[in-house]
Amino acid sequence: MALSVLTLVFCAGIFFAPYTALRCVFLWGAAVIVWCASLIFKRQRSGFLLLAVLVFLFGILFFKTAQLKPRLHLDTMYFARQALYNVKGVVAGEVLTRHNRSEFVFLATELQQQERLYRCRGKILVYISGSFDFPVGSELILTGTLWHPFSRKDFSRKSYAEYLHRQGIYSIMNVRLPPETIGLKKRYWLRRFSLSLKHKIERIFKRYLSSLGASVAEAMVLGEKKDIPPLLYRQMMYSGTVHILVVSGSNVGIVICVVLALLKLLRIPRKVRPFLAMPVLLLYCVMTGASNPVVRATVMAGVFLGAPLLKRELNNYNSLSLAALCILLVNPAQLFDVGFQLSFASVLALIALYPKIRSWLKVKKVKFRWLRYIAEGALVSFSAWLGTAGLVAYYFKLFAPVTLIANIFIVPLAALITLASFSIILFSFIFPPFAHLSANSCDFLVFLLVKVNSFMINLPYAYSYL
Amino acid sequence: MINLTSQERAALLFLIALGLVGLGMRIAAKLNTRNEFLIMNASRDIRINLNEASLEDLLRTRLVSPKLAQKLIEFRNARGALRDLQELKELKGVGKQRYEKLEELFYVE
Repeated sequence: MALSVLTLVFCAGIFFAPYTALRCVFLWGAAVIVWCASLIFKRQRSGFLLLAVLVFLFGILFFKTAQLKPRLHLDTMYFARQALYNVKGVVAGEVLTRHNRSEFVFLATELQQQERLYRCRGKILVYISGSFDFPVGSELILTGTLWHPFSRKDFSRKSYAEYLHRQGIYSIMNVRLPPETIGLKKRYWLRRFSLSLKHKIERIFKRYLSSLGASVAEAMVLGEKKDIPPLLYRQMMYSGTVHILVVSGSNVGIVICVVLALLKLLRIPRKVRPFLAMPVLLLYCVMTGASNPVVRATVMAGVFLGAPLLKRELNNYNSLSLAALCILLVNPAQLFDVGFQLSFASVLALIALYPKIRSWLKVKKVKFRWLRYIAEGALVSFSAWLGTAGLVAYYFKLFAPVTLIANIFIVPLAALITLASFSIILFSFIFPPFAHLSANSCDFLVFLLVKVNSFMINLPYAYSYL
Repeated sequence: MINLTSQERAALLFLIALGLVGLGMRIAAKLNTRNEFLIMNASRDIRINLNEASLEDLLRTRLVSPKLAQKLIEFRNARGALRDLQELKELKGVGKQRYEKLEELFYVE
C-alpha cells in the first residue's frame, strides 16, 4: 500500500501547486534538504514521513516545472492581430474534418513574420478551410493568423481554454493560404501505422453497419465520437451512461481476452503470452488516442499480465496508483482534467466500495444465479455512481438518479455491442458473410440501446440540473 | 467427442447467438420491409421532428441557442409544416455550416 499512499501524496502536491507562490528554485532547495534529512533519519515512522514530505514537494516542483515555458516557446511570444505568420512544423495529430473545415495539432519549429525568422517550440491548434488529409509527421509550412485567445486564470477554472492548456496547446492558428508540404518525418511511423489501422476499422464499420450503428461502434471500439448524433450524446449524458461511448477498461479487457484466446489457440506457451499480448495492448492504446481511461486500463492490464511472471501478488490499489503515476509523470496537469478524475474515481469506488457493499448486503447468499448476477451488476453501478456523483454534480451541474437503473440495462448492452463490433472486425477478414450477420445483430443491439436510453430519461425525476 | 473448456464454450455460444440474432433480423427485414427501421437509424430517438417540437423541447436539449430555437419555431409557424429540411436554408442566419449542424439535430415528417 506504500505506492498508493505515496501516489496520493504526489497528487496532493500537484493539487496544491497552483496555490503555492514559492519559486521553483526554493522548492528545489527544500526538496534537497528533505532528501538529505531522509537519508539521516532512517527510522520507520520518521523516515516514511520525510519521504512523504519529499514526494509532496516533488509533486509541487514537478507541476511548476511543467508549467514553465522556455524562451522559445510560442506561449511567450506576442502575436499581432491580423498579421500573417509563416509557421514551419510537423503535424502531430490526426487531421479531423468536419463541416468543410479541418483541424489538427501542429508542432511548430520555426516562425516567420515578414523578414524575421524565429526558432520556436510549442503546439498550435490549426484550423483550415477545406478537407485535408495530412499524415501524422508531415512537415508543413502554414501561413495564417495566430493568437492566444484565452486569458489564463487559475488552474482550477473549468473551461475549454484550460482544457487546451492541459494538452499543451497555447496558440491557435487560422490558415489563410494553401499549406506547403516539405516532407514526412520517419519517427512518427507508429502513430501513422496505428491511425491507418484505425481508419481501416472505421471503413469496416461503415461498410457493414448502418450509420448510427457505425457511429456507436466507432465510439465504443475506437474512441471516435465525431459521428455520434449530438442528441443521442446529450441523452446519454442525462442518463449517466455516456461513459460507454468512451474506450475504457472493459474494451481493453476484451482485447486482452481475444488476444490471449488466439495465442492459446496457436499453442503459444503460457509464459510467452504476456510478452505478445502487451504490444497489441500498447498498439490499441495508441490507436484509440491514449486517453486517460485507456492508459489507466492498459497499465493495469500490464500489471495483471506481468505480476505472475514476476511472482508478485496483485494489489488493485497499487496497480491503480501505478497507472495514475504513469499519466501524471508525463503531464501533471492531467490531475485537473475531468476525464482523469472521473475515470480514477469510478475505478477507486469499484475497488473500495463494491466489495464492502457486496458483503454487507450478503449478495453471495442469493440463491438464484441470475438474480445474483443482476444484484451484483446493480451494486457495481451503484458503487461507480457513488464515486462519481459528486464530480458530475460539480462539473456538469447535473444530478441523475436514473443512472443507477439505466446502467443495469445499458452496460450489458454496451458490452454486447463491443463484442459484436470486435466480431465484425475479425470476421470481415476471415469470413465476411458472418460479419454481415454480426452487423445485423449489432444494429439491433444499438437500436435497443437507444430505445432503452430514451425510455430511461423520460422517467419522472430521471435527471435535473442543479 | 470434442472437449471444450468453459471459455471456449462461452465464446462459441456467443458467436452462435450473434448469428441467430442477425439471421432473425434479416428474415424480419425481408418479410416485412417496415421492420428495416430495427436495423436502420431510430430517427425519433436521435433527432427531433421539427414539425412537432415545441420551444421547450428545443431548449431542453441544450443543443440549440434560445434565439435560434425561437427563430425555428417562428419560421415553422409562418410556413406551416416543413416538407424538407432544406427549407431551413431560407432562414436568415442559416448558412451552409449552420445548416449541416442543424441537419444532425432535426428531421421533418
